[in-house]
Amino acid sequence: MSDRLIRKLDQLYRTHRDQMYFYALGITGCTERAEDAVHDAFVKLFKLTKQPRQLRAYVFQAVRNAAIDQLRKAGNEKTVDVDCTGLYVLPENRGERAEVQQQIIQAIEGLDPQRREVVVMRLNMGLRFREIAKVLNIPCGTVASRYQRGIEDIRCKLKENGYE
Amino acid sequence: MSKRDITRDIHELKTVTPSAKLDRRIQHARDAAIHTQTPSHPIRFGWAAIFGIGMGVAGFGIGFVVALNLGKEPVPTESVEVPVQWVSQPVDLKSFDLTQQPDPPFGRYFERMNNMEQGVQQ
Repeated sequence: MSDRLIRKLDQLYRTHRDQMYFYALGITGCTERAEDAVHDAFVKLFKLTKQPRQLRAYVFQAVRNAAIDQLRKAGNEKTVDVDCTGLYVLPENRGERAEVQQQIIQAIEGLDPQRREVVVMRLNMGLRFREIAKVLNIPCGTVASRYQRGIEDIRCKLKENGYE
Repeated sequence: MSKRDITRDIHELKTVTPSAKLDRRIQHARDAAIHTQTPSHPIRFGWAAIFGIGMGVAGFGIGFVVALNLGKEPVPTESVEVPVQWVSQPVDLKSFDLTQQPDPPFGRYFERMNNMEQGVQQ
């Protein structure tokens, strides 16, 4: 591995550490396994001899695969010590805005898993549709439609709860 | 709520963060990778070595062949057709008649040779 690639990966870890951990936590549902997944992914990434295309998407894909491996190691028993609500830090102030955010988190939790994954990757992790498509290995159009439908589902849910 | 508001609210949600332990583990993995670095392009180095050895062998072979052929007489080629007037004939310089010699510059050459010979004899 070249010094340049190590530096790039290190930089990528520093800037996207929270998002990677958040993603792994969403898959494994366990804080320890999520950290293990990020660590395992980077141990493998540091062994790369050639820089892949779309490095950021590649790194997220590696984290995803490592998280799924962690889940398999645990015998497919998703010991959920963190559910979707636990992925977010709730706002400290208890105003109307905090209430809306609470509702949004619940709406995200109620989403179809495929749509939720895309919405979270786009809005919380800041990935582009093209990158999400690479990470999930699906066409870009599918990503866009899942995202639109996910947002629409959240909107409907909020509407049902009286947030027009 | 509009879609724009929803996306903004989701974007503004704060997510949980990992422990400092993860940073240390990644740091260790990075340090280990730096210490066990391999040449960046081993395949290219391999090809370069093969190319270098090949060039060396070829150079040695060419040099060897040239050295063998240095002392040899040049082999006449028979298939070349030479115009009759160009074919060299043995010239007896003593009985050489300058008036029948070809035009300069060859004439001057034979004249000079003749003069030199006469000078030596005198």
